[in-house]
Amino acid sequence: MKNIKTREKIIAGILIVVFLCVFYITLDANKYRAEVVAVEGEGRVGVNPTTESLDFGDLSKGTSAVRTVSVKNGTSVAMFIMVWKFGGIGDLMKIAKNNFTLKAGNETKIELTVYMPASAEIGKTYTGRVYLFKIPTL
Amino acid sequence: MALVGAPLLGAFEAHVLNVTAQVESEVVTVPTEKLEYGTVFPQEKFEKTFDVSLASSLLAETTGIQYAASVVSSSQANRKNGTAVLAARSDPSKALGAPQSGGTPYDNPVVANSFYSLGFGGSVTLGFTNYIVNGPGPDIRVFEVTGGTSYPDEYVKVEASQDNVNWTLLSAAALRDADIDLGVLGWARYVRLTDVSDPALFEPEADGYDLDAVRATSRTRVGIIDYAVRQKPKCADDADPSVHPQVYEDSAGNFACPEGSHMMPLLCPYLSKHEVTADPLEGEENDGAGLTAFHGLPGPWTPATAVQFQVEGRLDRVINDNADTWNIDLKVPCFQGQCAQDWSSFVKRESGKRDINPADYEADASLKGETFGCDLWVEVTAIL
Repeated sequence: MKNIKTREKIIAGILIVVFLCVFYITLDANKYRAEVVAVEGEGRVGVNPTTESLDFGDLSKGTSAVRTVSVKNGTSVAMFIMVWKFGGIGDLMKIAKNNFTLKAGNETKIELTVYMPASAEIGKTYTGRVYLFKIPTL
Repeated sequence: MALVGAPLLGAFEAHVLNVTAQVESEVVTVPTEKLEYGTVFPQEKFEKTFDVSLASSLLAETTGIQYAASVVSSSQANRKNGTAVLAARSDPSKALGAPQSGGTPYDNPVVANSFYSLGFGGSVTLGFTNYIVNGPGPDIRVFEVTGGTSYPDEYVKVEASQDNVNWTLLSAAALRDADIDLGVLGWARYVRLTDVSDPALFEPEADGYDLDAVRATSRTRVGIIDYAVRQKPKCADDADPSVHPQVYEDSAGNFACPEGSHMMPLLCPYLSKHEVTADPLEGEENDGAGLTAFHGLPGPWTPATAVQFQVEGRLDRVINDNADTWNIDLKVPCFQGQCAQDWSSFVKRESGKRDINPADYEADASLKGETFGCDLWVEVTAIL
């Protein structure tokens, strides 16, 4: 009985540590609103270079826009960088660099490209979210 | 774990770890997958256009209001009788923030210690957190404090500046609480107020214009965007040439195509680019001069070449210059050994350069029948 209780304590302790890690990593993730508007015509682009969100502006069919996120590791340990995308805009978006390790003190840029396909609905605003997780590595 | 995770994904970032991520203001767009010119013959000319504009999301940003946020400088003058203004009326920070007065000619009761008296001929320069933007109607309102029911008029000269160096007069003598327009200025960050009241009309203890607050329009961005149109090589997928992966710069600083694709024969040197819409302010074209065809050769097309032969444009929301149309004019090259006798004069005429070497722009004969390509990249270079 005593041994089972000790094992249960160990498991509970591990779960608590894992929970706290997930809690901090999720809370610390950078969360960006992303949007793009499909406009009519050809060869038309509208720009909105805001730094408050990933706004890809207005794009006519067959055009694309690139926004860049700079990531800097100011800690003393390497960080595993993971980018998740959600929402309708996620289907239009490509992430140039994902699931990689950023060494301590290093900086990098991640390019996100949105392409407006021929099947896009004119006048529709495609929205979504992009989350950038930073996970300490051992 | 899932129940806890969902709210966390919606939570504001806590930044427990010192890893920062910043959205860059740079925006790069490739305006069109293809401006297709079809099958063409040497020395033919074709025109296509593409549009660059302010995004609907930017144009939807509304203009708010703000109050003066900082005292940049102050130079308080004396009262009419030559003595110093009372201490309770000598703190210029009282002119910051929202007014305590109602904006009426006579403010009763007067809230004590709520305003800054300039003194006769005195001045104060105030700074604003956001841009004061010129819009429909007045853009600035000054709030003055006067008690009682009868008192000589107090006047203030109002000037505005974008850099606290160069000043534009908005009103030579604004009376009491007054609405002011930015006039010729598209935007400002500083307002300077100078008392211009006539001391002869006042009692000996009078202390000039009593400034309570300055209210102004507010936008975090003016909406002026500078951009460059740069030409870069175009890639085509080896298996499906109708697919065009994005060209990139390799570690050596040269243009390269992703694995599984190849670089198409270069069309960039043969494209002229000119902005063809008239800007709202007559005689004040804010876009670059454009670029004629036949440029960039001989030699490889590098990122430096792309920058050297870029064209610039500006979009300005303040003057309603919200869109630019660029005319892309293709001058079709001939192939080496198969050029017409007037090829030389054609190149010199279309390029506008008498010292150009037309032979540099003869295409390799082995490329006959190939599809040429060039990517036009619109890159935002500055935003205000």
